[in-house]
Amino acid sequence: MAIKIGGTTVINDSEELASITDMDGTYTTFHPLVTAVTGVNLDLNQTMLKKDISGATTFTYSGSATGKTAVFLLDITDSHHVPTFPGDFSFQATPTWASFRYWIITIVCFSATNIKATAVGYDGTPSAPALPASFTIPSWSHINSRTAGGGIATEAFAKVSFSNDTANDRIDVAYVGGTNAVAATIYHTYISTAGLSSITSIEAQYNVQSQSVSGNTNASGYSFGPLPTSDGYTSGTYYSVPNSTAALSFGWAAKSSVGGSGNQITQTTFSLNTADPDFRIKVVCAQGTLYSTCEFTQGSGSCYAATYAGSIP
Amino acid sequence: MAIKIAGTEVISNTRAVVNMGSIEGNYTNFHGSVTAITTALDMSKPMMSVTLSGATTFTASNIETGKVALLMMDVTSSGHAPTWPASIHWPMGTEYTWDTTGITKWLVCFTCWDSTTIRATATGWGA
Repeated sequence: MAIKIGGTTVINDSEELASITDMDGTYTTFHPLVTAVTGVNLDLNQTMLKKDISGATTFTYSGSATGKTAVFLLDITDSHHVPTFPGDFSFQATPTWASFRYWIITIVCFSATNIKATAVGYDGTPSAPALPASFTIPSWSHINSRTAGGGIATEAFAKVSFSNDTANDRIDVAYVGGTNAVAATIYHTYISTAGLSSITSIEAQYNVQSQSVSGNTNASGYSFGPLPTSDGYTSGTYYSVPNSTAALSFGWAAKSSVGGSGNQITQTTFSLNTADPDFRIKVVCAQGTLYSTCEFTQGSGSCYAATYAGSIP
Repeated sequence: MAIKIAGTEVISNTRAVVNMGSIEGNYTNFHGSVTAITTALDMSKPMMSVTLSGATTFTASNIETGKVALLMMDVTSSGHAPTWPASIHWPMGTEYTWDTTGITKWLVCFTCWDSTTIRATATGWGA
């Protein structure tokens, strides 16, 4: 027999509490029933909803009221079918549905029509690499040399720079090499970041087996180098990649001038033959921690600058 | 005196609601009892707590679709490492770094996706 209070059933014959206006106390084994969403409507009267979608699906909702909270277990399958939520739903950032198969979506009603949601993705492999696994820097002139007489100052250099081109959703890898005899061409390799969301950091590193400089080793006379370490960049360490207009540059250079004191010969060498990639980019974003690597197959590089007070011997 | 419906006790002599098929309505001051554990994660327990005194391997039981449980875990300043059962999956496939410097208190939320899979999230604090 049901239990009634003031004529209202509060415990029915099926042993269910009903029409309870308030509850006070603690609970132990007490969990929500899972309601399968049979159509596309999310009934926010239900505490726990679950659905597998077999195609792109646009959801509606009902039962909203301030404070109501529901959890939606959503399986978009390995095909990564795209769900679309009602306009009254807002996510902190639109989830990248293609990245994961299983989603736990927590829905909280700030009002009947102002509904906030968070989504956490699990498992599944992204349908396409979110960041290219590798990149190349073809034709990078990494062996450069200039010799001049008559006291003409000489320079040789090779440099790889990284910047985050946010306007075009890509990382700009700029590379250049040459001497001060002629203007050097700057080449670019672009790595798309269009498939990434909520990027929190982009970093890059270089890896050399060895590097050294002889001759003019006074870094104060260089715009960069003569070694990356001269600019504070250690091999194997990640450094932040700034947004465009600035760049993270790993540069090697040699610079000579007689300065009235006679001949000067400067030699900078670096060996890229390590077990680690020659250059590596690390991106931390909503899709995870992703890497793109570059193996420059041309081996060791060098910059040679020689200046003679008189004729070249 | 306990209250029974068709012979089944629904409110015990200690004023505990038991054997409820469903509850419909609202609540205010209504919270999960905290159960101290050592290594056994019981998904029937809504709120568990543990302080690790060394590397700890957990097991999980009572996994049923829709069950949600919280674990308040203190890895202490020693950063003791928890090891989780294979049934537990982490967001984006990446487990948290439990010994992160300065992080000792973790709130781990377990959601049972089905009878074999638990999907979890965790948030860490320094104190």
